[in-house]
Amino acid sequence: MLVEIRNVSKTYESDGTRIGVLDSIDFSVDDNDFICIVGPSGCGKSTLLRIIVGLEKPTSGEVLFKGKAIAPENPKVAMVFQNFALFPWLTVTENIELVLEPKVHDEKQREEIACRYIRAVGLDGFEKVYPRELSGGMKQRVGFARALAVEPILLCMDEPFSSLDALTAQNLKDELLMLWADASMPPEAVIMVTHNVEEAVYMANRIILLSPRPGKVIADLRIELERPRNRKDPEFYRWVDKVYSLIV
Amino acid sequence: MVLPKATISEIIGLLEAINDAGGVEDAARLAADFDLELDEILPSIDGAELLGFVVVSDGNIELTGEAKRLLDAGIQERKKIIRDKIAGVPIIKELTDRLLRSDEKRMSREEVLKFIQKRISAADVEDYFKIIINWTRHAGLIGYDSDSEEIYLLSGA
Amino acid sequence: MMKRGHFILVIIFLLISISLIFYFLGFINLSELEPIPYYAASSLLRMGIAYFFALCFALSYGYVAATNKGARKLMLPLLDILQSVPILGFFPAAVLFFANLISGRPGVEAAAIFLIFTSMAWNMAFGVFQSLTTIPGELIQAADSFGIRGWQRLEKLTLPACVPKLVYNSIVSWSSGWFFLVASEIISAGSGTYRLPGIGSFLIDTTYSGKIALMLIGLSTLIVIILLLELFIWRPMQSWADRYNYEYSGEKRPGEFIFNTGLFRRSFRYIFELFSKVTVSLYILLDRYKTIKKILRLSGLLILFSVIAYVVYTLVIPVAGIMLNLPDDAYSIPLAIAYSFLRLSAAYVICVLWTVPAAVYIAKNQKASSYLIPLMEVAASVPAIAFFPAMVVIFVQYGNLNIAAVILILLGMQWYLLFNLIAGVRSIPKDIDNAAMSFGIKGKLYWRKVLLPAMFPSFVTGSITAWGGGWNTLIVAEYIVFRGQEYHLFGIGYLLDKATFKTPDSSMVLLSILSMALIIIFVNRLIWQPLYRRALAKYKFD
Repeated sequence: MLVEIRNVSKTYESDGTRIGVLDSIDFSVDDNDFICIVGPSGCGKSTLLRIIVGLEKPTSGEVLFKGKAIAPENPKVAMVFQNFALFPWLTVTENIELVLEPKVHDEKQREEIACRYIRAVGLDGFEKVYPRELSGGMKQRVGFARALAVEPILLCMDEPFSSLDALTAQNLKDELLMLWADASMPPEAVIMVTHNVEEAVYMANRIILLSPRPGKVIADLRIELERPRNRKDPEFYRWVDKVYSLIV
Repeated sequence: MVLPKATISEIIGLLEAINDAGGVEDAARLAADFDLELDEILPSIDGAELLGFVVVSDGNIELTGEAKRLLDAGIQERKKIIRDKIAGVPIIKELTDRLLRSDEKRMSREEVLKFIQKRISAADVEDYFKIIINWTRHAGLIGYDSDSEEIYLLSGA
Repeated sequence: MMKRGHFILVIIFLLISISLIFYFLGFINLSELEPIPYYAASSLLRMGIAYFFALCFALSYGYVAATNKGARKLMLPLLDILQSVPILGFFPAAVLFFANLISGRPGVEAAAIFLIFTSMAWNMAFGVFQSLTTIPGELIQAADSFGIRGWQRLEKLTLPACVPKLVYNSIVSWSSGWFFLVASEIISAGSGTYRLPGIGSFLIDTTYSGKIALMLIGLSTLIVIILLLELFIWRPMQSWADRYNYEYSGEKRPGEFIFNTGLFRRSFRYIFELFSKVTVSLYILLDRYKTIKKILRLSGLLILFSVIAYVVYTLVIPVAGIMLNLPDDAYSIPLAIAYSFLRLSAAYVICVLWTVPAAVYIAKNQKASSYLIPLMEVAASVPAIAFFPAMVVIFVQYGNLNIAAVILILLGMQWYLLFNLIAGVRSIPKDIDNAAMSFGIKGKLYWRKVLLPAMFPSFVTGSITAWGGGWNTLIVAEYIVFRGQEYHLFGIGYLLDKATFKTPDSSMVLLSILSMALIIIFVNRLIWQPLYRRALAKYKFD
């Protein structure tokens, strides 16, 4: 058991009224889990992810990582953002080296690690390029490389494909799955937030469904489909239907 | 078709979609799958054709053997395959030849824009410039230095 | 958390109470307070007249520049140059010019109003120009497709398009206008010969005669007027102008105050519509009588030519004189500039040292900013120059005038930089901060590689305006007449003031202004503009 989310709830105070965002979320993450958290907009799934990563504190409940509490700069968890969140004044390599600085104190070593993961995502040739010159797909590849470079045990992704055009997203999803299948690559588990059911069925081996605000877990099911998955496959349709039926 | 306005990522995404459909698919249905208009998906189809990854007939797009090889390969393998294909695209071959023949193996952005303008008479030469940079960087053939605004030949081209 | 409008009311209340306390403690007599309303009204009147002229200028200049591509090539660079000359540099020249034209006090009044005008007109003209050239294409197409042309277009498209930027620029213009109003009153008071009754001269008189309590009341009056304008005119006007924004989402501005609703909004709309109708009727009239249009154009050109001719006459002759015979003082100009530049740099360094950490603290701290920002906005709306008489007294008594000057310059610089920096930190996308936090980037690393680079663009724009404010303050700070005694600091401001008030010498005036403008343009081209370009290219978030 890698991560335990124990009875996590989150409420906000606004102008005197309490708004419930998450309600008693409880599940655990095991080795080799690729979890997609699916739910409608505003159901708090992004908030849940931020709590798991440690960027926000739950109002009640806790998140344990191998038995210990999660801290924001927990080197074992890394995040990929919907809008890439790259630093515009740093090159691709520098963006990756930056996140290595807190842990890796040797400059040469940082360079090496950055290089390795740049190659892994297929960005060799782009080392000295600035983010503004990159297309959306390239930027997110940097996002992946950066997250993988800290060699996390858990990778958290917040709607990583939503800002990309459909074709590029397709390409990137397949490449991510290739990296996931590679045993020599981190991470050991992935939690991905999405509002797109097809995307979830395509990527995940486990889907957690959240209800509209306040978000509650309505279902937690394992997707038993062989990889590589094919959207045109009738089996695929059936799983998508199944998930939809649970939502409605 | 000299150069379509499609990035390499988009083209590969297209190939993967056709693969899912069994290796051949109707253009209109491909567009519908991605929630795109037909003319939004056209550049990617053109690009795939230019690189020799698909053949188009009667509105049907079919994967070539090369494409299947690409899709089965890992990320690094794919780069090698694509690189060879890109190097063979006429306009890019011309550009790399020109760089080889020049003394410093460099060209200014302005010169490249003029180069493109002669071959593609369009108003949005800037967009084509970005595509060429995207393709050639992907292939590791040509690099672009945004500070000095020059393209240069990469070793091993 | 206090709403900003309420905060302003509290300050006004406080100031009035202080004044009352002074009265009851016998520090002041009622009779001494008598001139205040008159002075306040005079100052306000000068501002209003200048603003009116600035508005007319902005609308016509901006309109012509926006619609006439040929004229634009001349008009925009001209505007650029005019904006580079520190406005106070205009004042001595304006005094001489108008004093020659209209003798006696009206001449000086005209000069003061002209000065305030120059502090308002250029950026408002730019605002109009920008508004007209950035009308979204769809709106223009829609207007075309519906056949809306001519005066209708003017009323429904052109004028409304100018509203947001004009209102914003008007607010900015008034706050900088106060500075120049007070400055012109102070300078003219100091010169003895030309005196303008107003808040500025009241402050000088009371300070120099040692009536501190009275001076404080004068200062409070100024602050109260500024705040009242803010409450009753600018904020309602802003919320009315919001409707003219293209992306108006109906959201209320934060900290809205009761007076914003109904009455004031309607009044502004009414005034604006009246204004539009008048403009439009003029336009229709012109259209109908083509001959009137031709006559107006001709006479406009004639007036323009005669003005240019007169200016050339009063300037070129002196220049020719200069060429033949440089005044003695002219040789000290380079050194003077060096000294002034040093003072500015000292103030700038102090400014940067405190504003950067302060901006980060304020921007990142919700609770602190909710009361710190309104406080600072009030402090910033008081023109630094109002503290000038007090500064003079203190530092003349206790020695070092240089320190007083640097402090004054600092006051004139810091708000520009601070507010720009705060905006800069606030504009860092949340995701970037989240990314930095999630990867454990904090402390020195965070400052070095995330925070400071992100602040760079706003640092540059803030610094540019800060230096502009600095030059203006410098001109006032380097030359003081106190109780008949003259104190000065050697610098270009001193040379300029000396040549205007002490030993009038129009060629020196010209040379000083020119050399100031030159060094400013030089620093702009060499330092600020390249930095700005780099900031945009490398440090902007998209």
